[in-house]
Amino acid sequence: MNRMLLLLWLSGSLLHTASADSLTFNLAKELLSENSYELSAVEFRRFAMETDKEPDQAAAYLYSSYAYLKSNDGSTASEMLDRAENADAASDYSRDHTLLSAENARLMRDADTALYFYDVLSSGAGGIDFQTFAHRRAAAIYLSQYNLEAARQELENSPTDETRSIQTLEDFASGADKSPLVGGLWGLIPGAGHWYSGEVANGFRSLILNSLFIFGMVSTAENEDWGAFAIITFFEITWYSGSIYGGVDAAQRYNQNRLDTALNEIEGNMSYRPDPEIVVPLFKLNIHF
Amino acid sequence: MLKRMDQPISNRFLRLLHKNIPMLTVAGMFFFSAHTLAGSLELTADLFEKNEWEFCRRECRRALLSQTEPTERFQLLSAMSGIRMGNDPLLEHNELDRIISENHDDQVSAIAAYERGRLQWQLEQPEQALQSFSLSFQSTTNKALFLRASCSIFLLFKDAPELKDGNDDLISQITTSRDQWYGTLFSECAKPTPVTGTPSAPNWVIRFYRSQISPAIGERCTLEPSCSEYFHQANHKHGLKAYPMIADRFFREPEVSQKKKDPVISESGQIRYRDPIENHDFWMKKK
Repeated sequence: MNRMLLLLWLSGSLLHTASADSLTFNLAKELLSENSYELSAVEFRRFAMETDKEPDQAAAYLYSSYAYLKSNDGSTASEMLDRAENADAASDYSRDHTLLSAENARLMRDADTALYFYDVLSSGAGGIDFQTFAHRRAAAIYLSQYNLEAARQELENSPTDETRSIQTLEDFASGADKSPLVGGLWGLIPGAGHWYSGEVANGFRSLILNSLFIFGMVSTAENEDWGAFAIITFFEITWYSGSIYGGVDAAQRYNQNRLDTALNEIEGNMSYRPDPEIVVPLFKLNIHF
Repeated sequence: MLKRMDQPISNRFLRLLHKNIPMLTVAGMFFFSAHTLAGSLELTADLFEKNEWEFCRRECRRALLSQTEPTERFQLLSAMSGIRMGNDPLLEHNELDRIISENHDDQVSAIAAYERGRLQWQLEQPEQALQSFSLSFQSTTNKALFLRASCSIFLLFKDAPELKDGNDDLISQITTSRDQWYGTLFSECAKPTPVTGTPSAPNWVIRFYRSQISPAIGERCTLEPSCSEYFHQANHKHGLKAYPMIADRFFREPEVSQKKKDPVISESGQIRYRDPIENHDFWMKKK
């Protein structure tokens, strides 16, 4: 009788394993590895619905939220994170859940929430990789807000040596942004708006085109050729407004490039992805630098 | 089928009026027991609400192939997704006809009738549309659909005033629900426009350039999107600001292509360099 019970228990366990390692889950993982994020997210959701094991469900929803995050669908990713949190086994994945929540808030441009989650992550027992990741991300958010002191604080608190990043921060602080307003005002003189932001060749092209068309306007007006004058004036208005707009845009791009360069220096090639070695429905994020 | 049609409308209206449905959205029509949805239907309804029509349709097909219950709801969701994807309206119309005549779920029939009415309205068949809307209006027990159907009938009467003749009863019935209509209901219930899947038509400057100038001078732009496409996008997003934007692009073009950053292969096989409009309007408010 006991042997019979043991056999039943064993066959039950085997069936259980077979269902957990289902086709749907494997298909979802394969799609994820092919970067077909939207398809993969739906398959993970299907797996979560099909399984009645809470830990598998939590893992599948985390995978799904990861895939939605990768496809830049923050609102659905957030919904999947909520579902993962509602599963009983959510505490097993608290570290990964926090990281995904932070990344989702970052994607949704909710800086305060993102900073909260990065703070949780950096002070938790997630390991050096997770802490470094969180500190760098938080520093990057503060830098985007031009809060250089807070950014420096984050880098100094990182468990990894961040001397290079702190140097980048100092270089950024010692530089200066260009004023889009001043760029636009300089743009009233054709080409000068571009020169203000260091775009010398673009400025000369603007100057030459504007000069040619102003010359054309004057010349056609002198000859009282009003038809040609109207056409040339239309184009000159376009070039001239382009010079003013170009002054503003060049300043905005200059500032954005300056910020992006600093952010890239601080964040480097940091990324995170689920551990590809895991075959059964478990979720574990790995950080890559 | 559709037994509720013979119930007095005023009684149903009073009943529906006291139902508390805070949000009446398109997805709100699916709430027919949304909180009790489970399994495949939950996933499918979720995808529908998120406007993921293609995924939703695929899930419906999967469910129908595996004969997952309730099949009539999957059929309806599939047809509704097909309409929103811009599939052939006649095909979807026939599918809705089949759903209405074959299924045994009154609520599904009411929604299908409403969707069929919208299709018929879009296909310039106002009389048939009125019949479908009336069927939906008179048979539903769902407040969201009740209000939608009444508002659509109201707008249909405005679109085709000749339909008012001989429909005094219907007019008085829909007027009773008017104080429940809310601002966005009018836009949601307005005459549907065909889904084309293509962006708005370019303005005359671009059309003239593309038809008269571009064929003569060939593809000269080295940037992606091409200058005419950039102007079209700028015009669509920012109106008149498109003129200074395209002028500035002409100033910048040689420098961008000289940097050889972000190369892409265009449809014609030419190497171009990415210079999307987003790189130049991130600081601007959209029109």
